[in-house]
Amino acid sequence: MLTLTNLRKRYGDVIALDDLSMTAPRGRIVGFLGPNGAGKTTAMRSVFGLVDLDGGEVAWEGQRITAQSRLRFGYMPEQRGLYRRMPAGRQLTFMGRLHGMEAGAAAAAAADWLERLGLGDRVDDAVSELSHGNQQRVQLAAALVHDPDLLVLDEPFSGLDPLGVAAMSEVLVRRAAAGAAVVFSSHQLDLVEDLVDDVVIIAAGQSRMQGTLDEVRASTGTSYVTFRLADHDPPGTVRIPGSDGAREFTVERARDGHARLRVPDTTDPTGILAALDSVGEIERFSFEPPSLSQVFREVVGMTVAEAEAAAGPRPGTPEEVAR
Amino acid sequence: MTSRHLIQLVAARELRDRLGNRAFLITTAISVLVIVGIIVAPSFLADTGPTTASVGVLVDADVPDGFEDALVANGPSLSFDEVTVASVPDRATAEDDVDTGDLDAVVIDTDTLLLATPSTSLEQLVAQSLQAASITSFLADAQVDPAALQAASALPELDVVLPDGTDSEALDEQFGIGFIITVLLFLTLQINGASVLTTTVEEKSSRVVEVLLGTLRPWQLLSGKLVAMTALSIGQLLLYAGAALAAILLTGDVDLPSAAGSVLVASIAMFVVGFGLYASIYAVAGALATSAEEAQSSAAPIGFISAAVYMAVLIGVVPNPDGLLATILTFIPFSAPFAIPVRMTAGMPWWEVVVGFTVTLLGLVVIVRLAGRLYSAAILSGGKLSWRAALRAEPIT
Repeated sequence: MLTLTNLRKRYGDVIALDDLSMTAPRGRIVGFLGPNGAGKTTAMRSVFGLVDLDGGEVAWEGQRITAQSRLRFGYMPEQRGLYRRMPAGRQLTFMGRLHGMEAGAAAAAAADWLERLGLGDRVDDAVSELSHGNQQRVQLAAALVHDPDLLVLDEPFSGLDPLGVAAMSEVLVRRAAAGAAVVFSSHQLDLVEDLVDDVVIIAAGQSRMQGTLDEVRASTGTSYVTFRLADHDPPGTVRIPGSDGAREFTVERARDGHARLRVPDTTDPTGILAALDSVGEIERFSFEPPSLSQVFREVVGMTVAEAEAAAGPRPGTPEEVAR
Repeated sequence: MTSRHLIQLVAARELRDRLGNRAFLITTAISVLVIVGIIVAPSFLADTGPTTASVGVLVDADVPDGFEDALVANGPSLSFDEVTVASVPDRATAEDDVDTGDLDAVVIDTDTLLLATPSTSLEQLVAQSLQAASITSFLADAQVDPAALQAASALPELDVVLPDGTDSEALDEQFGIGFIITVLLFLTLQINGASVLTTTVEEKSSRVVEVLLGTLRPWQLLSGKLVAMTALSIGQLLLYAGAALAAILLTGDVDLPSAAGSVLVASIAMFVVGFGLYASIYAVAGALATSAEEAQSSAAPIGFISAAVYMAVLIGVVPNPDGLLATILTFIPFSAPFAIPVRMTAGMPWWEVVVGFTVTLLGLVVIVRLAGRLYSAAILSGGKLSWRAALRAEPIT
C-alpha cells in the first residue's frame, strides 16, 4: 500500500500541497482526480523523491521509500519521453535494467512487452521512426517492463485517442489484477469513471474527498434526475414528496428538451415519476448518483474549469522554478 | 542495485549511443587522418622531385676536367639519388634527346644548359659541378691537395646551446610537440564537451529524463554521463597518440623526446581532471536549455573560457614553456590541464606538476559539486533557465 501522509510543499507564494493525505492499496486502481494545478504532479513526483517536501511522509508498505523500494515502482510522468534515436527494444531493456533486472531478463521482458503491444516487429526500430500512437505504447511499456508493484501514472490518458484509452485502461486493470497498486491522475474526471476502484479528489493541494467510487458518488447526499417530456417543454419547478413532506425543486434546462433536477439521494424515485407524470407525458427518465465532476462541483464549490483558472501557474513551469 | 551499478548502466548506454553515432565516428576518423597527414606530409613532399637525372655533355663543350665526376658526386646533396652522364656528339642530337626525354639536360658549353623543362635543381647541379671541377683543376695547377683544402675549409656545424642547457634543435621539436599536444587536447575537449551538452539537452527536451529519475538520482545520471565521456576522450587521445606514434616511426624523422611516456601519462591524468571540470559545466549548460539552440547560448560562458584558455596556452605556453604566463597558467584549474603537458615536454619542476594537479583536482571537486546542484535543479524544470535562476532553484537530492 502507498501512503501519503500530511504532505506539504510550497513554491514561493504557491502552495502546491497543503496537508495532503491519501492511500493506494494493492490490487486497486486509484484515480487521483482534480483540476490542473491542484498539486497532482507534485504529489506523484514526491513518491519518486523528485520533490523536496516541506513536511509529511511518503511510505510504501509502511516503510519510508528508499532507492531500493523504488526499483519496484513504475513511473509514467506527465511529460513523457524516450531516447529518440534508441531502438525500442534496447530502450525497454535499459529501463528494465535500471529497475534492477538482469540483462537477459530485461531483454526478454522488453521483447515480450513489444509483442503484447503489437510492436513485435519493431524491436530494432528507433523510437523516432514509430508513429505517435506506437511511441505512446512504448512509453507505457517503459513504465511496466519490470512488472512493478506500484504503478504511478501522471495524466496517462491525455493525448490518447479512444483506442489508446481502451488499451491503456486494459493494461491498468491487468496490472491491478496482478496485485499491484495503481495510481493515476486525471483532470478529465468523467472519462475515468468506469475505470477507477477508488477516488481521491484533490483541489488546491488538499484531498477533498476519498473512498471507493460508490462511496464518493454517494458522499454528496444528492442524486440527479434527468427527464424529457413529450412536448420538450419542462416546467420551471416540480413539487416532489419527501420523507419530511413535499418540496419544490427548481428544474434546470438542458439541451434537446432534457431537464435536470438535483434531489436528496433519499428521495423515492417513484414519487418523482408520479410528480412528473402529473405535469406531462414522460418520454425519458433517469435517477442516478452524481458523476465525478458533479461531485467535484459539490465538494469544492466550483467546476473543474473554474478551479483551473483560479489555480495560477503550474508547478514545474519556468515561472514557478524562477521564484 | 548500488549507485556504482546504476552509473555503469548509464555510462554503458551513453558509450553505445556515441559509438553508434556516425558523426562522432567520422570526426574521430578525420582527426586521425589529419594527425597522420601532418606528420607524414613533410617527408612526402620532400620526396616529390625527380630522383634520377641523366645529363648529357656535348663533345665540344669544353668543360673542366673532372666535371662528369662532380656531377655524380653532387647529385645526392640536391636530392638526385643517381646521376648518369652521357656524351652527346652535336647540338642537333642534344635537342633531339632532350625532346624525347632520353636526357633531362645537356651541357652545351660552360655558359649554356639545354633543359626539357626549367628546373632549378638541375641548373644548380650543373652550375655547382662546373664550379667544383674548375676549382679542383685550379688547385691542381697551384699544386694544392684538394682533400687537405676541403678539410681546412669545412663549414663547422655548431651546437647552439641556451643558458639552461637545452639546445635549439630540441627546442624547435618541443615547440612542434607542444603545439600538437595543445591542439589535440582542445580538440578532444571540444568534441566531447559538445557531446555532453547535446546529450543532456536531448534528454531534457525529449523529456526522457523524468522517466529516468524515477529510479536514478540526478547525480547518478550526471556521473554516468561524465564517466562515459571521459572514457571516450581517453580512448580518443590514445588513438591519436597511437596514430601519431605510428606515423613518426613510419617516417623516422623525429626522435621522440625521452620523456614521451611520462608526458603521455601526465597528459591523460591532467586531461581526465580537466575534462571533468569542463564537461560538468557543459552538462549544466545543457540542463538549463530546452533545445539545441538554447544550449548554444547557455554554453556560451564555458565556450568563452575554453577559447580564452586555448589562446593563452598557444600564445603563452607553447612558444615559451618556462615564461611567467606559462607558470601562472600551471596553477589555474581551467588552464593547468593544457599548460602542464606542454611544459612537461620542455621539462618543468616536478613540484609544479604536483601543485598544478592538486589545484586542478580541488577545482574539480568544487565545480562538480556546484554543477551537480545546478544540474539537479535545472534538469526537471519545464523551460529555459538562466545560470542565476538555476542557482536559486531547488535541487533534487
